[in-house]
Amino acid sequence: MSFDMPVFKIAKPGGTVEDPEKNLAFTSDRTCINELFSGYVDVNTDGSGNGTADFTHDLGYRPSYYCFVRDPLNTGNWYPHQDGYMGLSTNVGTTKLYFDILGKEASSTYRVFYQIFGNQQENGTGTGKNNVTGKIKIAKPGYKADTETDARNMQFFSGGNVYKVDTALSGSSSVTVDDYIVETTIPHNLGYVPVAFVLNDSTYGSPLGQMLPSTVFEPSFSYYINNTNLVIISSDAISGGSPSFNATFKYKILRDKIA
Amino acid sequence: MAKVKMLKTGETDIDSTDIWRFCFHSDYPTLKIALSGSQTFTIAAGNNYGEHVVTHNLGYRPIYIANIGYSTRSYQVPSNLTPLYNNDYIWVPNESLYDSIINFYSVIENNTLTIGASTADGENVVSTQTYTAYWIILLDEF
Repeated sequence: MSFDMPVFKIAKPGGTVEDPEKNLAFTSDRTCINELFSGYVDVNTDGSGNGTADFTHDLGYRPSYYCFVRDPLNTGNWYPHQDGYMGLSTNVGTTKLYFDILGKEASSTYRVFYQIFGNQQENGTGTGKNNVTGKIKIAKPGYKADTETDARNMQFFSGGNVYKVDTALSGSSSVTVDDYIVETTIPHNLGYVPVAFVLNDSTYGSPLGQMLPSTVFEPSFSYYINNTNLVIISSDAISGGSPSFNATFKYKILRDKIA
Repeated sequence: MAKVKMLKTGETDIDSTDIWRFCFHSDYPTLKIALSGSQTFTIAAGNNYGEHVVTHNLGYRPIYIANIGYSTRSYQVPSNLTPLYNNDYIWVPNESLYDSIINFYSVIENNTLTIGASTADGENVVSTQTYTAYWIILLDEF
């Protein structure tokens, strides 16, 4: 005799637990992005605008991660990593998260906010780590929540942190790019700098579906966030918006705090 | 409507309106993994790009996390980037007898995610270059 595994579901406000999984606030049938570490590292550049730094995570595997970097000119604006404006390039090994800045603002301090997740980059399982904390634990199928210690084998554990999407602040926005640089300002008014993700849902000589930043080619797109706004930057450095084109973005503003 | 709230370690105010103090709050849905995996791919000798296409069949563009493994490191890949390794670009010999810089890219469509690498100048590589694509595709629609 076998039994179906019970499922723990939480509906969004106004929804029900019978809603499609993608519309639930949480389901124990799906792995969350489980944050293990977050914090700040400074990358100090030399007279040529080059600098490196690293953070030791010692996980023994390459974890999923994400970073934002503050404008060194103290505007209070934070940019996603891997974008051409701030020039922060990041990569991760089995023991460290690495930060590189090449040829940007000289003799400056770039403050980086990092998030390292327990999830391997392919969400695989593993053994040997002791980093599951908190009183509420949900294990992946085949693992026991009361004895499992490795975060890779968990759907969720309350000693970490999971992303929290503010659906009311999230949405879409369209803009006509008719100049070299066009900024689209989306207020959030949270009073702190929240995590945000942006998708370019349109095309201009490039394929659809660019999760920003996209700054290698022109036109390029990136964004920054500060205490008050999410600002999406559309740059047409070659044609200067002539002819103009329309760009549509989708964005998610989270309640998770960068600064 | 009842709420499920869990504070982060060290926080004490369950009624706080600072949602960032919570590790989970049912008023703010969390991201849920739909599918994930990894696969090696190459820029074959004589070519200037290589990629791996993941079929997700969600019917919409989801949030995703793509990484590309190169040597002992992995790079989180948004739409595109020019990765740095030890404060320098990643260079590969090309058929025109100099070195090309490598770019990484990803593209999300309604049913596929493409993760790839290419030479920045469009030159073909002399020898096959091998990378590993890693992906976590979330159920949550952008």
